[in-house]
Amino acid sequence: MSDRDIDQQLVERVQRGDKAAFDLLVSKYQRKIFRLLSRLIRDAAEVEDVAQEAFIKAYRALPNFRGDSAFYTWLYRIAINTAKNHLVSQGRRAPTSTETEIEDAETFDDGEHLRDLNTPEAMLASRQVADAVNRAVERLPEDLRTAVVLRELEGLSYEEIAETMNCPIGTVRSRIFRAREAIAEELRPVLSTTKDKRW
Amino acid sequence: MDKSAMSSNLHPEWERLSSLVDGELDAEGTDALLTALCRDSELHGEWVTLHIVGDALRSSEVAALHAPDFCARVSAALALEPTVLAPRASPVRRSGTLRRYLAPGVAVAASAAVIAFVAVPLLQSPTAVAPTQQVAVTAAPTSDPTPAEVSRRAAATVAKARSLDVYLAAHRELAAGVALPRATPYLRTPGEVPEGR
Repeated sequence: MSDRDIDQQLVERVQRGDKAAFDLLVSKYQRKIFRLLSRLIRDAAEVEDVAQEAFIKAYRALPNFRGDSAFYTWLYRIAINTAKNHLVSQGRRAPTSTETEIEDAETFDDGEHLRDLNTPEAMLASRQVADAVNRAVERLPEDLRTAVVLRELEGLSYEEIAETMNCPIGTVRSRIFRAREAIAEELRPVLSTTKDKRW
Repeated sequence: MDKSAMSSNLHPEWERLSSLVDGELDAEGTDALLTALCRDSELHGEWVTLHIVGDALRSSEVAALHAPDFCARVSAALALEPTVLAPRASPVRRSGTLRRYLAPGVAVAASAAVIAFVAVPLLQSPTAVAPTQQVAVTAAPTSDPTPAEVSRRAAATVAKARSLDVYLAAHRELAAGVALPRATPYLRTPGEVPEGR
């Protein structure tokens, strides 16, 4: 089952009236949408407002979503249009050349061609996250590090990882999970959360 | 790393959730866990954790943009929205038996509606046209039914198809004013900038 299949299942649950399923999609894609919108809108508070508006628009339009494209591609388009309309309402213009980024949305190339609007604060936060992740990964036992890197960065299936590492699939599953938990522990202080508090 | 300490604090479903995120659970397990995920706030928290970790490994810039309160904010806004419903496009999830019994009922109800709303007024009219009457007679199940009998049979047939009500209600909601459903995300209110401009 692919990531797209999981999204489609969640969409169908929403289409049957389960709003909690939409919360899961919001949780999953909020950061990518923020990243996209921050290329168009400088102010962080405005980015959040526009992101919320985009998600609400997506929710309202979900009855008409047929799954012809991936959910994220569809959401991406809505976010772009919402941002453009927001900028127009503020008397501002959106950067051009957003269509190619829409085509690349499924490959996570969300807007390299758009203007870089990173603020010094955003760059600092990004560096802190990168440092935390690097620390966490370096501290991992080699088997956990290999498993999580092959999964998250190389996109290998559990079966492929098991073959590569010469171990059972159940072991792969466990290693990836434990690696993720260790990285999460390192990230929590950076992202201003504690273990007993939700992200 | 103290593995025993870590494992004692972990929800028993978290490892399965980690597999679900990777698309590595079977269909039945995925369905059950998604149901649990929509009900269990702890599991939801782990869902968020797993996706933040993935984002952080692939792009620290993306992960750094995490806003802890955003999801709750959207959820609160969604609570004020009417619940969206969409009719199921694929018959896969519906029972084949249900379709087999509903389809003839729909056809009969449609025929009865034609009789009740077209043929009956024509039969009652002194200026009724012969070919239309012929059509009405052909459609009737017995010869020479009275208008009252036709209306009664139409009403009885519609009553039998009452199980369609939920399905038809959903269609009605969608049909109101939406001529181009795929264009809905792009439909604009006056004053908005069209795409490409």
